[in-house]
Amino acid sequence: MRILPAIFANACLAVSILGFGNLLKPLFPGNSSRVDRIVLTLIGGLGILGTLLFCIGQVWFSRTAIVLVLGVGILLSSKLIVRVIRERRQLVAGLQPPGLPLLIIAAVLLITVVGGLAMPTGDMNDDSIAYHYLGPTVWLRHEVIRAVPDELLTYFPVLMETQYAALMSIGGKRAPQLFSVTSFVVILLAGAALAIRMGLDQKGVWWVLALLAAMPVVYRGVYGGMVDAVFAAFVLLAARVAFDAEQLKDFVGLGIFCGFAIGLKFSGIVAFCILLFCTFLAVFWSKRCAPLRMLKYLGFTTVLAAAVASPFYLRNWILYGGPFYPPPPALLRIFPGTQIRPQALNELVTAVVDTGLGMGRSFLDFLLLPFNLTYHTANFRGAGGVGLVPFALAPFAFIRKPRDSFFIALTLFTFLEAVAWFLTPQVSRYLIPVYVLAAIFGVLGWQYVVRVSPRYGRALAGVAVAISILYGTWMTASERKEDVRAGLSAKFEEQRRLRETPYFESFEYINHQPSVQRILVLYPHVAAYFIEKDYVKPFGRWGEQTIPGAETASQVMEQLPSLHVTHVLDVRTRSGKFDLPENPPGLRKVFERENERVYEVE
Amino acid sequence: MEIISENLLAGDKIGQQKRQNFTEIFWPRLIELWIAASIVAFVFIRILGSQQGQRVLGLLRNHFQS
Repeated sequence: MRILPAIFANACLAVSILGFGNLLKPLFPGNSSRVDRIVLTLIGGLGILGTLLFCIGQVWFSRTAIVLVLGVGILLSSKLIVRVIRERRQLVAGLQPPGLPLLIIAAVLLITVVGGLAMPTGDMNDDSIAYHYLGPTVWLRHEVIRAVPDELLTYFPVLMETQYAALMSIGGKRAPQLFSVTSFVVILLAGAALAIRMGLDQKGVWWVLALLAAMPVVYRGVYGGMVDAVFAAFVLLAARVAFDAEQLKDFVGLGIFCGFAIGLKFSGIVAFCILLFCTFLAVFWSKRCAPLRMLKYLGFTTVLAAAVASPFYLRNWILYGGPFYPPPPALLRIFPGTQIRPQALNELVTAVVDTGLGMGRSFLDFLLLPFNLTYHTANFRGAGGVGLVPFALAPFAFIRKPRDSFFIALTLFTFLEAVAWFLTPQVSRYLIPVYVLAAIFGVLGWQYVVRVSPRYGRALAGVAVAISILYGTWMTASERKEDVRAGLSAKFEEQRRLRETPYFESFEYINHQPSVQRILVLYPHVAAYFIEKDYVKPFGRWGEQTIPGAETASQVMEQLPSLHVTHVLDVRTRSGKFDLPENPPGLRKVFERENERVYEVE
Repeated sequence: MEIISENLLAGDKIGQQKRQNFTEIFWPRLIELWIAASIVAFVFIRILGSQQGQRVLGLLRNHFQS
């Protein structure tokens, strides 16, 4: 019973996504395959639904509003679903997946489904707990989408988070976890779409999918509220549309998909610029379109992408003083964060720089990047890395393939994406678009090796693929074994929540005690996501200050009457002390554990 | 004239032979070497060099020492 609402919510969202995505059907490329059409529908739907929820949520974000929006999508999908049911045999006709890749994909999918049923646990070091899930929780409580002042990162574009909110509203806190199944399917289908376009046969495509499923860093972008895999899918499908672009409708499609990518993450802007450049070269090289007309089309694409992404940036500009909020270091001079404390911004920038150091930024480091990403993955927060195939086999893809404009544009795109990533924070999962392409190049290279060296080369390439997949599956399984256990056993899940969530018992008290209506949380590193009641958090983890004139706990306590809180949560800080003295005046201790205390305001 | 063209032809044949040797013998061996080296490096650095790999090696060491 505990899992049914989550499954129901995800099913509703998936159907609604298909309904909205179907609206973009006229923009799909003329040479699109069946897989292209399915994944473009899915990803287009994700973009439309996320943007729509965001726009409506600026004024009304109750469950009714969410159900209405999802309902429209479901209605729109009705024709499509009837057609799919009618043509179900034709849809799967000709699908003859080889056993081994299918087994690998099925195993990882099973882990994703069962692990996705587990309740979120963790602390403020977990991005999902700290902000991906925090924003939606607070929006639903306040019935309006606004950034959470005590967490700077909730100001980021939130195209995916609006959908997490929809899932939470219908299916509870477990539902966004299960969304990993959709993310997994989307990134695999995006890989398949490009693999087919690159000329791989069905067997080759299935092996690409198996390699992707067993690539730990790609998988890390799929689950636990991470948005990197969906972002990669947006970028890759924009590339799929872009490099075959010929008519105006293709450029419209490109603009829309790029707009969604920009609405999902700031780095979508960089990807968009690279895509524009590569598209220009691809179309120019293949002489599909007159240069002047193409420039006109690309200009139109830029305007369209800006328009599609604009709600996320305009909201920040209107409400908080700048479109890029919090501004990345490169944009600080143009768009200074007007309402952000300089200390908080410094703290954030330092953290971003520290986590993205990688293994250096010299030219030699760039040349060594393929080696380092394969063998020293931990230096890039690599979540287990990319396996062996991209390094061992992908280089041979560039010898074998006949040089058509799509292949060349995609190769250039891969290279420029890697350069852009190298110059910005070097966190491995931000490079998922390149890893997906590396898997495709890997299989192309594998086929070349088998042809050139049919005996030893074939055997060695087989060993490289086997090691890659076994290693990746092992890493994924060990990373998710706790999630899977929690998904299967309610008892274990409870024990795990208690073990892995700091101050869990206080959260339980606060959430279940009817007298608690609004709580003051003094310590910045308490994960407010777990609090199901209205809360005030005067200090954020980056140094955010949400109460004017209150810079210390004692100054906050002086303003206590004006905060209208019924309870105060005080926990042992890193210094080992509590913020409040043993018996603070005007407060009565109602709950206590070794590291946490809850007071009632008298 | 005949001697020159014969020499050219012979040179051509040698060149062709060299190219053939490269594509049929040297190049495939180079590819095999690259893949084999990648595999060995992966086994040593990523698998045996990882924490879990070290743990397994430790267990094996203890087993054989005892």
